[in-house]
Amino acid sequence: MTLREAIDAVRFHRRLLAPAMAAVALAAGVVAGGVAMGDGLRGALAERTAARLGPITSAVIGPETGFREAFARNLAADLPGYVVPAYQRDGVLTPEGGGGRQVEVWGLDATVSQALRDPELLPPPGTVRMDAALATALKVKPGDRLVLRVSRPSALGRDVALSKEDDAIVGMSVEVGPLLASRWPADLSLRAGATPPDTVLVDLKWLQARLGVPSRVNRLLAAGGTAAHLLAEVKEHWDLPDVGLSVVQGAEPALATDRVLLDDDVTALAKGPGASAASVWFVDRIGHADLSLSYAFIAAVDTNDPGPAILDLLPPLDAGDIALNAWAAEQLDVRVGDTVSVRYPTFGSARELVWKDTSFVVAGIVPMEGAAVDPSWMPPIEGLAGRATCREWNPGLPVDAGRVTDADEAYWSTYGGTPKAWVSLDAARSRWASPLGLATTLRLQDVHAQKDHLAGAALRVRDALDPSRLGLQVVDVSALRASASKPANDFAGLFAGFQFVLLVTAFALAAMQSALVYERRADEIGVMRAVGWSSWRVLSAIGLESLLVIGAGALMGVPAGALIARGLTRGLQSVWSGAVAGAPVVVVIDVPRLLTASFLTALVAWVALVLMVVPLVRRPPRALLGGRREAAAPRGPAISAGVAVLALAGAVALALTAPRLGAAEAFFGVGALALVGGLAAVDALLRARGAPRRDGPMGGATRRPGRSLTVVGALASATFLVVGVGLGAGRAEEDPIVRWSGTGGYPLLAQTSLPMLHAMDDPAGAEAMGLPKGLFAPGSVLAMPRVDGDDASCRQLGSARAPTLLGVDPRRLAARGSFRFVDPPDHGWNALTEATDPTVIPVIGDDATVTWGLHLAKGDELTWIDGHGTSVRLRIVGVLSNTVLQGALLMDKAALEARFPGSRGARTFLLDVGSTQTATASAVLDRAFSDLGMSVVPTAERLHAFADVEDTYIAIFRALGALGLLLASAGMGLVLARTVEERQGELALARAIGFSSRTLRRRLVMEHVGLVALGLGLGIVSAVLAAWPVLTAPNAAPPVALLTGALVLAVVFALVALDRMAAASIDQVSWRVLARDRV
Amino acid sequence: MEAPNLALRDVRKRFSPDEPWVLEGVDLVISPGDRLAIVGPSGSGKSTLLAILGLLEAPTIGRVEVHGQDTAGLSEDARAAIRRDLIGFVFQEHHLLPHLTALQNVLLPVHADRRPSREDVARAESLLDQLGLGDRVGHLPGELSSGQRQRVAVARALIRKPKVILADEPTGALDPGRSRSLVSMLVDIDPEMAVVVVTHDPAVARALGTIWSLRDGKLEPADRT
Repeated sequence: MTLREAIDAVRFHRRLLAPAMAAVALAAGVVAGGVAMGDGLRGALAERTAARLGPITSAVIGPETGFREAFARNLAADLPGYVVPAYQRDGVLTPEGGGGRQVEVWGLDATVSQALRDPELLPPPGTVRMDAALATALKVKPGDRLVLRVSRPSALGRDVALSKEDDAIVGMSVEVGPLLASRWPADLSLRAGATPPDTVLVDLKWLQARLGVPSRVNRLLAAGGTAAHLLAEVKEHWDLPDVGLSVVQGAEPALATDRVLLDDDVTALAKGPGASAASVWFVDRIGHADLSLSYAFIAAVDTNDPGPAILDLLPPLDAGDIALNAWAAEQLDVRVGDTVSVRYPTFGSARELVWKDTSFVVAGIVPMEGAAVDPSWMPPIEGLAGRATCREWNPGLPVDAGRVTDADEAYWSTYGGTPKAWVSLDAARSRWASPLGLATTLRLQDVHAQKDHLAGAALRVRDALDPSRLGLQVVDVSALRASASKPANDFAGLFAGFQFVLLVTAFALAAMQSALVYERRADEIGVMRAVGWSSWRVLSAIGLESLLVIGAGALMGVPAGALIARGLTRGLQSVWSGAVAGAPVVVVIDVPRLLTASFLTALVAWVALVLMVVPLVRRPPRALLGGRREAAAPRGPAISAGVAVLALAGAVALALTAPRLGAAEAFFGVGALALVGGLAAVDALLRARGAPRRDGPMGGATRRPGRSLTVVGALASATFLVVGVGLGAGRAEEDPIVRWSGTGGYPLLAQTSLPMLHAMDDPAGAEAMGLPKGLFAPGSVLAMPRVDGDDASCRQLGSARAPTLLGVDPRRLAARGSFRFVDPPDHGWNALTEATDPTVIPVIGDDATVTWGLHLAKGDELTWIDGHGTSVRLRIVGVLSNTVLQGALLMDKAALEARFPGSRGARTFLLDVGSTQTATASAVLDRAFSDLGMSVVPTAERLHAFADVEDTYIAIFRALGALGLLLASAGMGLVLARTVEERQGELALARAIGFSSRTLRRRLVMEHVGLVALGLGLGIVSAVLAAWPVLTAPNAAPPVALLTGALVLAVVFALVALDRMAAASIDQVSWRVLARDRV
Repeated sequence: MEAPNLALRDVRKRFSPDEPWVLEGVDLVISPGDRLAIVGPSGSGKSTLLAILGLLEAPTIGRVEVHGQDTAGLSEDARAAIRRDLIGFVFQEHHLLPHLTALQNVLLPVHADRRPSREDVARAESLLDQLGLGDRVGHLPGELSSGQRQRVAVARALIRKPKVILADEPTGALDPGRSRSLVSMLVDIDPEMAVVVVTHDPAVARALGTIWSLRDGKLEPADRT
């Protein structure tokens, strides 16, 4: 058949083909609409990512106290594009009326304004610039004044009692500068989050001065070049001060750190031949009999290492021995063999400080000479280092100036921080070693003879170290951009999935209508076969013709898809905004992509149609020409009945084992088996009725069991999905004080921008922070240090690569029985502390975070770069039911603090205050911790916010599913039309002998009512079976009224469709069919 | 001796095991130039016999031979190829494709294995002209009368110069004049072409010469009935 003849055929049969074309257009539109939605979302994410990252291709993230600005400049000289040095801190911006808001504070210099050719970009000192969205949120305008609070950078961590507490937070009065245009760097941030970041820009030098970190930056943003190039440059240009290390000159060169304690990794890396670790500890007291020395340094040296010069002066030291210097021995009137007592501090988190007492036997007296008189042993403890007199001391530890004697002052004046006693490193390790570290210095003896070659020593240390393991991390921002621009989920697929019922129904209708068309034209096929056309040639002709029809449908699918996408977008911007957490969603109509999607869908429909026509073409020509057919032996009901029994038994068995399966697997497994079983039962019923009965509710159905089964199946599937998803989603409010609920039994969740230094549920800590007595009972606060990362909650649309980490105390959670696991670890919460592989850290996440945010499952791993620059593997050992901590992964607190020293100090809190005290506690916390940027929310409210996303998705699914259900109901009308088509003679005769068209119409409708009832009933029963575990759960609250309404609507729609189709079909029955001789 | 074009050997047919035989042991040989009329009462199986003869339907028992070769076991497409090359059909109902013009309908059998050539088109136009439809070549079947449609169907059967024409009540929709004209054209168009016509019309049967009668599943010469 020629193309022209095919076109003629389509034009001729256009009325017949139009419904098939429309059904294909709908199916293609559904898929194209999904693609447009996915494109829109991807576009919005790309836009948001561009707003965050601008032209940055790679970045250096430095330690909290930053690296040298000079280092940044050296890098800039060797990199293409431009490089922006910056200091970034989290802060809290509080307007005059209160209501602090967490912000990312970026101190930038003129580099960025020069690069962007925007001389006004950089705010003058004392001014913050922000975009209009943040200004609106803060209710401020240019010229208004705000208070900006930022935590002062601390190498060691403010929650360690050795650090100073009193100036931990720097408060700055700032003025709001002109608002930033909504383009980069207005939303500058290296973190991916659910909502645009709240970013403020300030002058770099001003920020450095306020924070006490002159000429240091902690971020370097490179626009141009690759991360590999940047990393190579970093390795070439870095120096020890860039990671807080320095080589100081005393009796011998020594490596010191501004963190006081050398990281164990650094100690291990730098320790080699000629380098020896030492730990110099500030003790409260050294006593002998009635005499004591207050506040002294004791140095612990590695006595097994022959290198350190001091060993020449020390006696052999066992773990219980001590050597006092001559000054101390004289003060204490000590001789060799005497026992001295020592009171020393140990440190934990939340400024935990424990004083411990120990004793040593004096093994020797060290003369005040040589390496024994060397102030460089003293670590750079804040508040001690650099102070001229003891009276000026102001360290984090409590120091009683009254205990300082004139002799102490004289010693400090003469010898500075020279240790007064010496012990072995083993003795120190057993007494004051902690996760914070032990060594405070590395003595570099090999250059002992070349004191003037200090630089050589530094160079040797530098060469032995890897800057990326010391906190100088190079980040591939291009990769971040690509990841953040990629939706966390396949939204094109998701929205096509939402419209699954619509899609399936459209396909079913297209198939049924096409089958009707070609069955009506069976005689044409018969003629072609009779005059010698091969079946392949006939198929080709039909294929060409249907290709035109389906192609036209595909073309119509593009505008249909655009319309669907527009409708969905309108919904997502209004009633369904919860699904995207209010993120902007735009429609992107990429015509070539929509055409491709539309045509691919149509192609599937075309292949299905051609396959469906094959049996028709293969029928004997005479049968096609209307002659008698050889009757195939009808299949009895036995096979179908057997399938029904097996499938229904399978459904029951699966339902019983459902607790061991995932919820989705059980739901769809039970549902599918119930549907198959039910449909097989219907088939058996239709076959068991034998000869067609022409009246009654099932009269027409027995005429063509296959067709009846198809339409019952479509209706039942649509009903199953709509009802099942509706029933499965129903849940009642969870009581926030129930410990196994998603709140963990904590009614309040608090988060701060700046770390809290004390424990709120410790009476001393509460008092130090000015909290009312008894607000929190001991053990009622779960304080969690936090490592900020990507938001991996269901509210985040972009992909999360490195999710936020929270440190939890597994023993406390286990003891409380907080939360519940959907995929529990072997040993419950204790699994967090049971790492079998030292390179892997166990973590636990909730279902939404693990499954949807990260696309992982229990047993999977992801990588994180820890605070030491080491890539660590996080293994998911358990999955919780959805919790209030959604979006983050939970790690053992001790492991978190060890891996991420910068995270010290809790910033996320779950608070158990009793359900009646939540309002009071919220108010108190808001007031007490506004400086820290604390936000307090009821956990129930936060769970609601998360549930909103899921609920909205379900609402979308239900709405689109209901449309599919209506369409399936309309399909019933199509079945009726086909029945009329086949029974024209019978109906024409009925009319000829006096039946009114109204009577015939009613009889026809009644014949098909049974099919409607069967389809809906089967769908409902399957849905109830599948959702049984949810329906019988204690907090089940199925939306029965809503679902009943939808089903009533479907029934009404089906009846109307049947009635209208019956009326239209009967009108077309002509008496002429009676005149045709069919013998 | 040349093998007959078509032959039925002891052909029996029934449509289901619990139904009576429609044909019971039918033997029939169609040789070049044969002119046969098959008559019989309504429901006697005339059309079924013609369908079996034209390989549109397979016998339940018995053989259908084409040039002496049994056609049992041939695929449906192989049978279609035999129909294409050997047989021309005129159905009881005209069975024209409603979206094709009269000319395109006539050329339909040519499309079975190739695109129509100029000669094919000229022959189709000539046949339509001979059948009195020279001014109707571009008309759709819906624009033609019942008789005109039947004549288009005859032209379609003749377009590939078949060896055998099988016609099932070809004159049912025609007036006596048109019937005579159609039959004489079928009889005269090619002396080598065999023509088998199923008919109720005694005049048509007589015009063909040899008359066979089908009754109670048996096919016998009409002079014996």
